Amino acid sequence: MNFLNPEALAFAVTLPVVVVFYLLKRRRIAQLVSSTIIWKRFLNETQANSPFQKLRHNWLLIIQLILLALAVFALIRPYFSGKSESGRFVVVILDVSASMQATDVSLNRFEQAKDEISKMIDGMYDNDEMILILSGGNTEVRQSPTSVKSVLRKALDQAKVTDSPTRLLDAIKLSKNLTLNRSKVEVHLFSDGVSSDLDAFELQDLNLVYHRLGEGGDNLGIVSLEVRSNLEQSDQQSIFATIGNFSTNVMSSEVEFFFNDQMIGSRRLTVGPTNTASLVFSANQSTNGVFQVRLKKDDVLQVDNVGSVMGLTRRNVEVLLITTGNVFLEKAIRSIVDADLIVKSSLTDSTPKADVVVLDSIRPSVWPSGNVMAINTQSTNWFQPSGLLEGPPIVDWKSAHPILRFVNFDNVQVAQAVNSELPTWMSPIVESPSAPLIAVGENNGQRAVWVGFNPLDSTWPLRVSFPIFIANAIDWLNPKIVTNLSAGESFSMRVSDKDSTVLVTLPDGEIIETPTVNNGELIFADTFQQGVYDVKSGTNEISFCVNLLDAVESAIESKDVLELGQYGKVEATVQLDSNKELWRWFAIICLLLLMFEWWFYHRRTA
Amino acid sequence: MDTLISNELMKRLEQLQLLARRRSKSSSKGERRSRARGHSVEFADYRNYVPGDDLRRIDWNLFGRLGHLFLKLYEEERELPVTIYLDASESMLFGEVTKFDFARQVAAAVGYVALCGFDRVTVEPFPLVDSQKSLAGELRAVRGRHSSIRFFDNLNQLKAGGAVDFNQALRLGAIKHRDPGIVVVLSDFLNLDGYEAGLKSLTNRGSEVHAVQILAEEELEPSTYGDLKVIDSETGAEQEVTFGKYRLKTYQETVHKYCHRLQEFCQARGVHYQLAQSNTPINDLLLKTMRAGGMWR
Repeated sequence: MNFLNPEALAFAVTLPVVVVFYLLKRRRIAQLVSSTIIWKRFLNETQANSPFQKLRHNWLLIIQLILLALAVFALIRPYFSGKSESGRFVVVILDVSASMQATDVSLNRFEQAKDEISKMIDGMYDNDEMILILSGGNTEVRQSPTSVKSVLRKALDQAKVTDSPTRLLDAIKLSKNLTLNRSKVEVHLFSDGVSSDLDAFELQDLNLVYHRLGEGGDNLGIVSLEVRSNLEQSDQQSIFATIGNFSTNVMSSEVEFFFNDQMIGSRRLTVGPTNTASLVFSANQSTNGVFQVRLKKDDVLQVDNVGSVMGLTRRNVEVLLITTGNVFLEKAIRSIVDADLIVKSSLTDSTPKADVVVLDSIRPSVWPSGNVMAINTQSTNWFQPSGLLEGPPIVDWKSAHPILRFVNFDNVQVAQAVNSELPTWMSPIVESPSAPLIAVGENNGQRAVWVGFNPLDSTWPLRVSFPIFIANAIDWLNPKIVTNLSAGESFSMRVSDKDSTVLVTLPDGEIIETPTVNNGELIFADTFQQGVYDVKSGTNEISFCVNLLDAVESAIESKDVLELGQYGKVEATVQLDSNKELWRWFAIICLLLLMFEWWFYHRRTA
Repeated sequence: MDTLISNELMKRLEQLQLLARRRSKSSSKGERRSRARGHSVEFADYRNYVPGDDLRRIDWNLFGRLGHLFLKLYEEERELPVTIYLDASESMLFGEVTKFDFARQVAAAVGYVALCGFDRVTVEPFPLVDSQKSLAGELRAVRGRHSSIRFFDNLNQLKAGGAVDFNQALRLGAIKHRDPGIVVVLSDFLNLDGYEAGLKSLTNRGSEVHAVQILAEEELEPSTYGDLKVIDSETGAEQEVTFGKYRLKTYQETVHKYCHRLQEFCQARGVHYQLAQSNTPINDLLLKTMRAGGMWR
């Protein structure tokens, strides 16, 4: 069984009220009489003490019958037959971006938008349909098209504002797609118009109604935040912060710096109107931790007054080179600033304690489990060479690949290469006409770079591209976890324990259990809150920070006109037309009638 | 109550005579015609002379004409027992003029008319409490007009109170007073157990029964409205009732039905029925209603 209007169940509270009326002991007047025999007969005659009795004229009965008839009449949902037109198709786009948290209006812009949408739902006709789209960092269809107001209200109540920047374009495009081939379409955008991506949309014939929220006000916000290690002093970190003033007044604020919630310093900063100012703060850091910058300013948007950034102590990448002797390769690796090289002639341990293993012209007895660069390595479980290629020309290379950034093979000649068929998970990035020469790939989280020829059998080591390639390859084979994200960006990392589920603690304390994909890869996309997220996988713990850091979002001056594409302009509407239902008045009349009946009943017994 | 009936009313009552449809069956001599033969001036019949008869009663004129001896028979005049059953229960104490006072006045009037007619008057109050037993004894078998003052005095001293089993009281009275005569029942007839059995026991004795139902104004037209808890004065039983002016008519209909049912019952058994309201002038009842009802002439 379904209910069109389950909220009406609230009226069920009147049932116990009626029961209470009957439970209340009526104060009766004790009256001594000669005999109760007449009274008993009188009661017997006035009460229904037989299956049928003569119907007496009774106003109470008439009033109750009228009430019941009205209720039944309402329940059968009467209507006038006639030609009716199809209802409107209303698309409501609700901006849930950070700027909607601005308190320049009562409560905030978001709550005001919800109020307006709620009124709009109240004014819907029965044959109107509404769809609710939430537009923040992501676009989400919160409620598919429906005419059921209770469902729409429930979806609206569950909508929450996020700390992410605005991406109105996706929502408007989606609404256009949703309204194709439909008549009486209305697209209502409830937003402050603070969005940077509207230029890319041509309005054409979309019936877009822009409901402007907010008025604007003084706002000071952090628009960029970064932490960098001092190359000379490994325990020194520099925090770069840019503060923007988005008002027409000069604003100043105390800027406080925290490390793991411990205050480590503060600065006084004055920023000119519509201007930005930068700050650099140096701090000692011995362990990994979170640097936080806070503006002590009571402005209309608080969300951009805080920024957090992960500070990680510098750690060199350990490279294990297994070679019988290759001076070019050794030199190329040693030239990488943050790499520590260990050279061995053979590999006996399948799990060497190194970030990257480089196999140079040897065939290992065991294949290492970590990320590997295999140079001229033949007859392994991955590569089955079918012969040798003499003097293969390099005909193509994919310069877009990060490994081949700034790498040029124009003057490289190869004397001899292995003719090998690649495993399916590998793709060639440098090719000769008949066989791949260099290939890269990732198999179950293990990255591998394969070079199908001995560099010493080529002119490559003498070229500048060789050390660049090696540096790029070591960098690619040792991927860094991005720990500072913008709100709405997804966080990804590879966890060591493939089977365990990962617990992510959000800044508000909520813990989300997230399963891993692709043999231990965590992709966490619910990053709509600003702050520090803690990721726990088995015994390993890591944190990452999510920030707004969006100058467009911090510029909270709401726009009177939305400019879409080159020519499209949508002005903000002032008044929203809504249809007021009348059933409440009838319900009130029914209630008054009921009260009158109660009074009438008591008046006659008084 | 100082005097039950006024001197003026007494004078009017002295002119009345109780009507008895049936001849008296009493064994005591009196002034009422009876079926018995005896000594009086009223000729009744002849019968053949048998040896031993009083020769003074032989109709010698008839012997002269017919040559046979016949005895002249005369009607025996016997007394008429008048029994008044007076409801003295607690329920009779209601009314601005209490029903009991009204009933005593009626009893006094009936008794006085009977005493004036040389009839034997007995008042049976019920329930009979111990303190009233001697008084009730004084009210039994009172005869002669000269006894009227004492009769009134005793009647005046009666007190009402307590609960009564109406049927049982009349049944016992019928057993006690075997001689059929005129029986007057003065009561409100508001009894949970009914009144039928009691009245039947009286009519079964061959008495000429007069039932006078006395109700107070409050019982006919209650003036207390609202949510009431009515308490029975005799049994203490409680009954919750919501009563308002709008239900007065229905209530009066109920009372009317109750009285009408009693009247029908009385008519079916040859009982004279009268309804009286305790606050109405007693003269109207005695000299108009009861006269029209065949109580006296």
